[in-house]
Amino acid sequence: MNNAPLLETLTRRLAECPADFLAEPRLGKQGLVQVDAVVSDLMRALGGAALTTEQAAPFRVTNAKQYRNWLSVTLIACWLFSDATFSGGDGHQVYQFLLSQLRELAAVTPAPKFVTDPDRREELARLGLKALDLRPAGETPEQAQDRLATLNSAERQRVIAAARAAEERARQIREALAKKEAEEAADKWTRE
Amino acid sequence: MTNLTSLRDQWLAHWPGALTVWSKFTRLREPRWCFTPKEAATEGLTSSFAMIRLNDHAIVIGLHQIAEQGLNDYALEILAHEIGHHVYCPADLTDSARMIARLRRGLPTKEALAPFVGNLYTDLLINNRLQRSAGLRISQIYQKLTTEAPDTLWTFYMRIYEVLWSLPRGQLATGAMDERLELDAQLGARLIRSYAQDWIEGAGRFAALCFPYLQDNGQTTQKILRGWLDTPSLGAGADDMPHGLTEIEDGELEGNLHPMFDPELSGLDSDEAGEAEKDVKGPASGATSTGSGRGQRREPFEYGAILKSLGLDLDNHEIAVRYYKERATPHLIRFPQRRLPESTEPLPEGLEPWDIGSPLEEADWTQSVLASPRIIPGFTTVQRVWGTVEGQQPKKEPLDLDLYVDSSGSIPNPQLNTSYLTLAGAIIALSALRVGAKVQVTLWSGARQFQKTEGFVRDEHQILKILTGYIGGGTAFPIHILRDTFQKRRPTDHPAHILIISDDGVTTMFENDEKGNSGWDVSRMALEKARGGGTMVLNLWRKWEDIPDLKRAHDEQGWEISVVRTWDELIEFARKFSRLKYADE
Amino acid sequence: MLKDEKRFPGLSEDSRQLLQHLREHPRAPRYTATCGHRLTPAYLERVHTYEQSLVGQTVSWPVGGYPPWLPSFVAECFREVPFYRGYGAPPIQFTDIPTTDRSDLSREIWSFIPDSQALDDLIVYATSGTTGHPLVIPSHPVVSGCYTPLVKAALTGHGVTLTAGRGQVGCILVGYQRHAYTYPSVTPQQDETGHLKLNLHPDDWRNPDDRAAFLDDCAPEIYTGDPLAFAELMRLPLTTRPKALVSTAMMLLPGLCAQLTAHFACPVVSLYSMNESGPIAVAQPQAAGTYQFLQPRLFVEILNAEGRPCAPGERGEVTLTGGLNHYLPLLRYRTNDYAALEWQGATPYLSNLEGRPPVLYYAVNGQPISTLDVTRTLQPFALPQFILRQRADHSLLLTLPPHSLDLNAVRSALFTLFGSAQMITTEETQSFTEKVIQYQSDLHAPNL
Repeated sequence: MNNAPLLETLTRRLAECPADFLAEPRLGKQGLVQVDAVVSDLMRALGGAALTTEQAAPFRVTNAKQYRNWLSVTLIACWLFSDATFSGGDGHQVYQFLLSQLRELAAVTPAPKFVTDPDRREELARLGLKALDLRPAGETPEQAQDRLATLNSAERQRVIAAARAAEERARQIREALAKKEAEEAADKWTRE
Repeated sequence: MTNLTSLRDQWLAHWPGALTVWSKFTRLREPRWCFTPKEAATEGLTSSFAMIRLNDHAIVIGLHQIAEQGLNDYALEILAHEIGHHVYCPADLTDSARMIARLRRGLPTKEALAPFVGNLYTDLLINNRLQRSAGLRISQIYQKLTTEAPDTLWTFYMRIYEVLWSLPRGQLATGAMDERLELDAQLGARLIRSYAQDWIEGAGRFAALCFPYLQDNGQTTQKILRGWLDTPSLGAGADDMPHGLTEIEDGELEGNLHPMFDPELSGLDSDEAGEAEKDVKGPASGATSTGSGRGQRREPFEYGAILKSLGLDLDNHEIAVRYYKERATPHLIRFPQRRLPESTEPLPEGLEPWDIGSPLEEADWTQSVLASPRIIPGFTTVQRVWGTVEGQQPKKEPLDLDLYVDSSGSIPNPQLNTSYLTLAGAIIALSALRVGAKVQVTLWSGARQFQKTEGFVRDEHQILKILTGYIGGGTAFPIHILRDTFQKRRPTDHPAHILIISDDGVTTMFENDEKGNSGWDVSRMALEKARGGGTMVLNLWRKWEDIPDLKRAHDEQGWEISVVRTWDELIEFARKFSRLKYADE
Repeated sequence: MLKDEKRFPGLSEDSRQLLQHLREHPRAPRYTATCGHRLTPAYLERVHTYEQSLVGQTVSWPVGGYPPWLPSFVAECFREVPFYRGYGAPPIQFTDIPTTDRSDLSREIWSFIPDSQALDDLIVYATSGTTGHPLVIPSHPVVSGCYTPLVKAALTGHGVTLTAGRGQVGCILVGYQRHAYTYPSVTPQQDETGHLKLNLHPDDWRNPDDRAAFLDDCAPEIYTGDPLAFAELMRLPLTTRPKALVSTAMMLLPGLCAQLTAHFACPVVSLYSMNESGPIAVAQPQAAGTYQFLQPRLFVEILNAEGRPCAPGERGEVTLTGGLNHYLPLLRYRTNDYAALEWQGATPYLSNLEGRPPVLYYAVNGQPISTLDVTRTLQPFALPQFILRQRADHSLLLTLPPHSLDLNAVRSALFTLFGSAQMITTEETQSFTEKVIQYQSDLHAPNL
């Protein structure tokens, strides 16, 4: 495993994600790509064993609404992890990453963004590195952590959700105050 | 003590490199170097160490301040930055104006800060390009600049740079940060990257983002940035006006969306965010019924505010002249002309000009009045005087235009808010000038309160200046001017069309003048001698037919009366006026 | 553009005719605006309910104590109002709640509107300001409508009862300025009696003589206005007389008050009111300088320079909590007016109230110029602060912050207001006191 991985290698890899990894994941009778098979291949490429039936089960779900995005993100992550940077990495750590952190990520961001959006590419690349206890070349642990925190989309959604209501109300009020009809006011018996 | 001359030489050496940072083909004049505060002041450089001027594409560098701030080694960075303002953003006056217009939308009640916020915005765009693409050391300059205790705006602004350039937290942004500030800085960074090409479109969003941090009107940040606020008065000395500014462009009105509501920037997609996203449509919904700016016009005071933000040194009146000219120009209409009679002989003997002092019975035209109570201007009299037969290819000659514009207290000030009456006057006056007519304009209010052109002139600026003036006093139509204009007018003079712009105050024209003459007589005489017809354009809130004096003026003297209160009525009036035919046209 | 239906919901035929009569009266002024009451049946109901709530109520709280509605009002403020939420958790002691002032309102007026308030029919009143943006107070037609019952309550104390109804003119509000919004209207909460806002400046009228003729024809039951306008009203050859004059906006000095009382042979009632809260208190007929509170849901403190409550009789800054405006619940709002509180039993009174002193400028031709005209004239220049002082020799001194641009244009603007022969000196100063605008005059206005 590369101990001083270059972030740019990984983000560029994600940007160039091939169509195969962007195809529809299989859910029940729909979709093309059998995600558990792809994950299994990845495990073997990392030097471990193929997935057992039990281990593959989480990737064979059928509820599209709940799982489709996550399965799509999983495919993209598999593409990422098959980079030379990760060769020889711990398959267990990767497997855990796919089931836990990647789920959180997929809950707030549509899969294609991890290919098209520079911030999301960087976030996924960094999270992937972190999953294997790696960090980008030239960064201290604090720097790497801080950068990851800055890119944390889940955290940002939470803050935005909290801020939006207040911001929207403030905007509505400013608008109401600026309306022409508001300016005309209403008649009153005395003026100050 | 730095030798400023050698500093200049050092910096000059970096000039070609700074140009190349942008492109091999960038051509700009070498900077103006200032060695002393006095020289700087002459160039308009006050507290900043660098600035640009758009009108002459100048870059001004205050060498003494560069040395003072210890920025000697940053020639490439600073020069490339200033060049960026010329070749990237804002680049020219029209784009500056468009940016300012959009910034203002995002700064309700703080519109005056638009130029300042614009400077922050364009700096972010330029610096990001320089640091990321060209590898310049812009961050070091900001580290040097941060001397005072930062406020939230400075912290927010610096944090954007930190996020953009993956700098360690606290390297530039040393102030306190809360969750919201962190969010806003992240959104700011995304905004700068997303709108790098389409920077004008992003301006409104940037302003909305900055707005909560402008509590102290940016005083602290301006102090910190004192050295490097380089676009203070972009338009200083400009002769050219930004074009198209009276119109509110598409995208301007909705452009002030706070980035947290913009799916592109917030990352919240409509699929993912569900309910929350659907409820929020941005400022276009609700208040402004038209989603886009198309067809909407700015008010004169806003137009003026944008121009002043650019440093264009014009007063409200001058701005109004340009405003109404720009709005009128697309709507010019046909202006009545007459065919030139073959004969241009002087008056036949025996005919004297009618003098107001003479008894009415002696007036030459009385006969026409008796013959037909309704005088058709130009027809009856011309026939009597000339008796010519038209030739084969008669030349056309425009009528003169005699314009009387009411500026009494009841008429709103056209320099502040759009006046359709003034716009009507501008359309007619410019239409007249276009065909070579001469125009006299009188702006009137109370007794002896008036401003007018020096007779019938062709000077467009003089004409528009009077037309857009404001007196705001009492109401008394200047009967003596109408009288003096036409009293001595000869049949050989051009016919003239009389246009009066007013409200119900126009009826004062039928009172007695200062010599005791009846306004009705003066009006009749003027129409007669003018021979081009008369029109009243009135801002009335009831039917003009219900006002006895107006009905009489129309029925007995042939005044055409139009009511204009709205844009639609203005267009209708212009259309009607364009169908006015001079009698023997 | 508002239509008449929205301006005057439910306009009766009688009132429509009255409005038309007032608009087209041959001696009417040239109205410069249109404005209506905007009270829908539901809103009108709320105004009536408010009027009911005033009946039999005396505004009272014990010395050192609080009215019973205060604790839940405070709780609501901390819960619902973004600005007050910013204080954190509500303190145990009322007197530990931070105070606010006008600058807070001008910085972020929107954060004072409670979250729960719908924004329908929100209207604004712009109060005088120096920059392109005067302080904008959000309000509502119901709030404006409630001024009527409060004015009536104020008049009751002076023995005046209003009876005018539809077809008649109940109230005329007069001003005296170069430029003012003027219009005719009706007041549905008072049986749609007519109400007009007028400007006595001769330029607003086709003929200056029209003023007395028109006013006599209207014969309003009361006039409201400021002392400057009343001084002018007194000069008009009116033959009719109102039941009362209600004076607001600035201090009514005893001299003028006596003159007005004698001339109009009716009570002249001074009303202490502000845009932020609505009418606050009415001057007592018997005890000079003493004011009785009008609003049951308005709590008044007097605070000293350190922000601590003063003892009864001790003079300090009038600080308001509560108020009429549901878009602007006030919580310890410092008014910059000074007075003391005195009690008679459980009823507090305002004593020694020093309001805004009347300042009148004079143009070169002797015509009076109101401070409102000055503010309006200087508004386009966005001056953050200024002091305009007219000296005994009638010259003007304008003090500005440093680096004020456009000095020539400012002077030009003042010339158009005062006359081109006006002597004007400008000076710069680094330090201004708290007050943003100051009007000063060394001239003694003869009638004031």
